[in-house]
Amino acid sequence: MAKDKPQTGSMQPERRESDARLAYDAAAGDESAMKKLVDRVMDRVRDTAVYLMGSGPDAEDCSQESLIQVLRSIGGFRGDCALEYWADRITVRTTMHQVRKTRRRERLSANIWEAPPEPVGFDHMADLKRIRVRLAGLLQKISKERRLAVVLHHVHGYDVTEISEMTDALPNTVRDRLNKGRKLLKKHIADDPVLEDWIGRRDHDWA
Amino acid sequence: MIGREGECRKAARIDDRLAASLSIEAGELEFYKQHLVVCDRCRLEKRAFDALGGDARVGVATTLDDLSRRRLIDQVVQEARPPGIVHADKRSRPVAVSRKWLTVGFAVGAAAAVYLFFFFVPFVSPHDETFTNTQNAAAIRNVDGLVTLLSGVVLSGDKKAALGMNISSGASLETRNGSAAVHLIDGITFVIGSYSLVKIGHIQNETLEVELNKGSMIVSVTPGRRHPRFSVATAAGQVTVKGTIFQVSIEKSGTEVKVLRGELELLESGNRQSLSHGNTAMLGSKAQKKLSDEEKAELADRMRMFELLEPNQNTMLDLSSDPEGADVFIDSVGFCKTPCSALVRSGDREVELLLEGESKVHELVDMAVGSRVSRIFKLVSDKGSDAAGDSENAAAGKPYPAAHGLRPDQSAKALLFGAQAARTARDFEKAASLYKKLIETYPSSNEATISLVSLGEIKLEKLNDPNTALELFNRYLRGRGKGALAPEALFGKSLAERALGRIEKEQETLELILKRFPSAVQTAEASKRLAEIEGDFEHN
Repeated sequence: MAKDKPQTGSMQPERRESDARLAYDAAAGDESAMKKLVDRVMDRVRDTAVYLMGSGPDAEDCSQESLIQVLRSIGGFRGDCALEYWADRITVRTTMHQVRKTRRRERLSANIWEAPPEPVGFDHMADLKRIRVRLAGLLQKISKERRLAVVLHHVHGYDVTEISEMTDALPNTVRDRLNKGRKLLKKHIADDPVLEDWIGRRDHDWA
Repeated sequence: MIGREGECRKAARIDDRLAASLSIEAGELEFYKQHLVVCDRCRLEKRAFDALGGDARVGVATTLDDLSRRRLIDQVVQEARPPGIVHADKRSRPVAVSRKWLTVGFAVGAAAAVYLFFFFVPFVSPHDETFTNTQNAAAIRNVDGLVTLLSGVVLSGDKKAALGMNISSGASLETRNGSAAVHLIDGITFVIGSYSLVKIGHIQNETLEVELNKGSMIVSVTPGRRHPRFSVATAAGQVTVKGTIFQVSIEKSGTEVKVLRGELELLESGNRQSLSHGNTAMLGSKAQKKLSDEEKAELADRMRMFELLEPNQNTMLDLSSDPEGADVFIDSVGFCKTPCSALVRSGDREVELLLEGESKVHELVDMAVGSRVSRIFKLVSDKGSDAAGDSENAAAGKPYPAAHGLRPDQSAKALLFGAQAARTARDFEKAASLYKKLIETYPSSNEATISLVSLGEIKLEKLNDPNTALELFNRYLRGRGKGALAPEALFGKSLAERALGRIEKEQETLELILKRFPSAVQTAEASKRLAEIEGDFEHN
C-alpha cells in the first residue's frame, strides 16, 4: 500500500492554512505560487498518467494537460482536503477523458509499451523503477475502469469510498472493479517471466 | 509452484478482502502469511502489488533532470494563465483586461482588418507571400525576450545592450569580444558567442526564425508540443528544431551544427536531413560524425549554464576584474569573461575568476531574490597570456571561456557530480575516468571514498575489469569496513571474485555479508548464490 496517501478528510490546521494560502496565491496569478504548486504535485500527476496511459508521449501530454487544469481550477479549491487529493481528482478526470478519446488506438497497441532498460544491478531504486514501468505496461492490458481502481488503490492508497467519490461510481462498483482488475493483473504478472525474474532477484520488501 | 490450487484460491480471497478494506479473522491472516512463504506464485503477485505502492521517491514516469523539470513547470504555468491577461513588460505585474474590452477590441480589430484587406489587396505584388496569403499574415506573431547575460561589448542595433533589456522580433544583437544570453518568453534560450550577429525574427506558421549572420550560438529549446518550431537561418542553410540543445557556428570552412539533446532537421538548398543527439555535421554536407567527449562536455557545461540563468527573479550579478578578460565560473560552470553581468538564479553561488598565469579568485556570493550584487576583483596577469587567450577564443568564435572540460582546480563535489552525470548518461568510460581523477586528486575526501565503490561497480559490470574492481572494493572496505556502502562493496567484491574464478573466496565474502549485514538488500541474493555454490560442491 502506498505510504504517501494524501489526506482527504480532517487535516492539521497549519497544513490546511498553508495549502489554502498557496492555492489562493496561485489562483490570484502569483507566478511563484503557481510554480510551487506545480512542483508539489507534478510527480504524482505524471506517475498517474503513465499508469493509466502507459509510457509514451500521450501520457506526457496528458500529464501536462492535467497540471494545466489543476492550475486553472485551483480557484475552486476549498481547503477541506490535501492539495494532492485535489490534484489527483483532476488528473483522474483529465486522464480518463483522454483515455476514452484514444481508446481506438489503445486497442491496436494493447501489447506494446516502452521496454524498460536492462537491469544493471546494485541500485535498489533503479530496480524498483524498472518493475513499476513493467507493471505500468501490464496495467494497459486491463480495462480502463479497472485499471483506474487498481492505480488509485495500490499506487495512491485511496480506499474504496474515496475512489468512489473520485470516480463518481458506487462503492460496490468500485469494489468489483478493484477485485476484477487485481485478478487480471495477477494473471498477467504470473505470465510475465521478466517480472518474475526481476522481483525474484531482490527477495525483500519493496515497500 | 508449491502451494495447492485450493490454498491459492483461499489466499487470493483473503488478499482481496484485505485490498477492499474488509475485515478478516486472525486465523485467516495467519494462513495467508504462511501460504505466502510456501507459494512462489502468490508471493510474486503480492510483491508486485507491493511494488506499485511504497517508496514514493521512485516514480514510474521518465525521470526529469533539474533543468527539464523547471522548464516543464514554466511551460505549465505559462499555458495555464487565463486568457485576458497581457504582459506589458516582463517585470511589471500582469495587467488584467476584462472580457468586455477584449470583445470590443476584437470587433474593432476585425473590422479594421477587413477594411485593410480590401484596401491593400489590389496593390500587393503577387510574389509577396506575406500579404497575398491572408492565413500567413494572420499567423505572424511577435516574440518577446529578455537579455539575461552580457559579457564584454554587446550591441543591440547601434546602441549598447543592457542587462534585462527587452528584446523582441526585429531586434538584433551583435557581440564583439564577449557573449550574451537571451531568454525568449516562448521558452527558448540561447547564448551567442563572441563576434556574432543574431537577428530575431517573428513567429510565422508556428515557426520562430532567428538569423545567425556570423559567429556562433548555442540554443536550448524547451520540449513541448505547444511551442513554435525554432529555426536558425544562416547563409549556408537552415536548422529547425522542436525541443533540443544544440550549437550552430559559422566557421571559415562552413556552418557547423552540434546536437547535445533531441533531434534537428537541417535544410540546405532544398535538401533535408536529420541530425540526432551526440552528432555533428556541416551544413551542405551529408557526412555526420560523433561528437568528441570534449565537445559533449562543452555542450553539457552550457546546459548547466542555461540552468543557472533565471530571468524571473530579478537577481543581478555584476562582475569586473582588473585587468579585464578573466574567465568567470559560477558553481564551476564557465559563464563569461569579465566584465560580465547576468540574471542568475537566487541562492548561494560560488564565483571563481581565472586568468592564465594567475592564482584564482574565489568567493561565495549570497544572491537573494531581487538583489543586485556587484564585485570588482583585482588580478595580476602574466604579460600577454590573457590577450593571446582572447584572440584565440575570438578566432574560434567560442561563446564562452576557452573549452575547459576538467579544470585542475575542479572541486571534489564537481567531479563527483560530473561522474554521476556521465554514469546516468551511460557514458561509463567517462564516468570511470572522472571517478579515477577524483580518487587521485582528493584521496582523503568523502567523495573519493564513495567513488571507490562506484568505480568498482563500473569496472566490474561495464568495463569487464574484475581485478581493478576487486582492488577498489578492498580499498573501500579497508577504510570503511562498516560504512554505509559496505554491503555494496562486499557484494561487489564477491562478484569480482566470482568473475576471477575464486569461488572459495567468493563463498567467504558472501558468508561475511550474511553475518555482518543480515538485513541488507544484498542478503537475499547472497544467500541464493551461497546455496548455488554449496549445491555445486555437493554435486561435485
